[in-house]
Amino acid sequence: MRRLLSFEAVNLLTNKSQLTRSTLAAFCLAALVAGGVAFAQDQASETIFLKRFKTEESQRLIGLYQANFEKYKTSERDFYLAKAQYQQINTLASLESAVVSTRQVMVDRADVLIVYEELLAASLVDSTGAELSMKQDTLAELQSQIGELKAHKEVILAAQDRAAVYRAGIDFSLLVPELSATAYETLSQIVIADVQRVYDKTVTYYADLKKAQAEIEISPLKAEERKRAYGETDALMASIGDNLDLIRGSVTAKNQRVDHSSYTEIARSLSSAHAQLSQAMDFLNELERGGRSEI
Amino acid sequence: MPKIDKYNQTEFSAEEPLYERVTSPQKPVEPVIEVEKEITVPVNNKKKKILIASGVITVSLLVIILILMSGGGGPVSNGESDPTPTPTAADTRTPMQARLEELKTELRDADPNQQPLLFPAMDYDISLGSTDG
Repeated sequence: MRRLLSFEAVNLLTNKSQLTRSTLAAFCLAALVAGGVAFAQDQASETIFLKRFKTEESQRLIGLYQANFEKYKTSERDFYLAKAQYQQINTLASLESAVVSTRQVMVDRADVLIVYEELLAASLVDSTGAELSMKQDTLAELQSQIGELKAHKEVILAAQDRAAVYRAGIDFSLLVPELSATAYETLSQIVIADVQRVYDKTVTYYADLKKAQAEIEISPLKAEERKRAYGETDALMASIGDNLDLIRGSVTAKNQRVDHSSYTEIARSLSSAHAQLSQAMDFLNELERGGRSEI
Repeated sequence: MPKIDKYNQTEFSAEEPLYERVTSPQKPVEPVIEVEKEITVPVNNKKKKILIASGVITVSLLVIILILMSGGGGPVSNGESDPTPTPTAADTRTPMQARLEELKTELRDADPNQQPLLFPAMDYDISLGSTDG
């Protein structure tokens, strides 16, 4: 009887350990699946993110920008630590360490901004729908700011003491509003150009579709139906064109510089034009399918 | 009653002759048979569980591989070749349809809310303070 009990106990223990192992395996699998899905989603969003950068140069720059930004984040952490340590213990050694890390984080910040501005310039050059005169002015401004940032970097590298680093920081803070304004101005031009380019292509497509469908003979009833469909599509396309003109006009006529909030406003207005364009494409899809079914 | 009196009541019931009769000399063999049964059952269960676990692992790995393959695990394309339809799809679509699909892809890429180049979020006031402070 006692032996039976002990075997039952052994059996129970074996089952228990198997249960533990199965649970562990299940957890590992769940983690693997979750990790795999997260990785895949990450890869997919990364692909969408990088789709905007079509040329080899802009792809090289976005890679460099991401690497520089990572480097900046690390040196920013080091700077906060060194600064806190200096403020706590207030020794010469901690001051030296704080000055060195301040210099480093300022250099890394300048590197991020230099590549960022280069990337903006490359993206503006790539965007085909931007207005040429505005594009050239903005590109010249970006080039000038890249030069200023490089000069700022040289000043930081040459700064040997705390006072020199402090002065470089003050000079840089005067540069930031200009950098930000140029960046948002460039971005405004890029986003407007992107939607404008698709709109222009859609106008051409619509004209071609009308031309192709005019060559096919259809019943008077169908012709009336199509006329009404064209009327709706014409009105929508005209409305999109007007909206885009208004948005472009608001950017060109602006006396004050574009900042983050005005850029957000431009993007919001463009979103509405973007949605209208999507609706127009649905109409065109319907028209195209209707035309094919009548052949 | 008198029979009961014959028994020593200080003894435990297990030691009574009545119970002794039930456990005949052949009885101890039974646990051995049960033990054999008990030993063989876990082995079968274990095999079964291992088979199920390996099946689940294989299926999960296949699912992960499929997800990774469909999720764009390959090299990042430069975007220009993406709107181009696959040869089989191109066979079934008219040129006008293909053009419209291309336009839709371009429109998706031109979403103003998906602009990745916003001004970098960094600390623009980094300073250790002047020599006074």
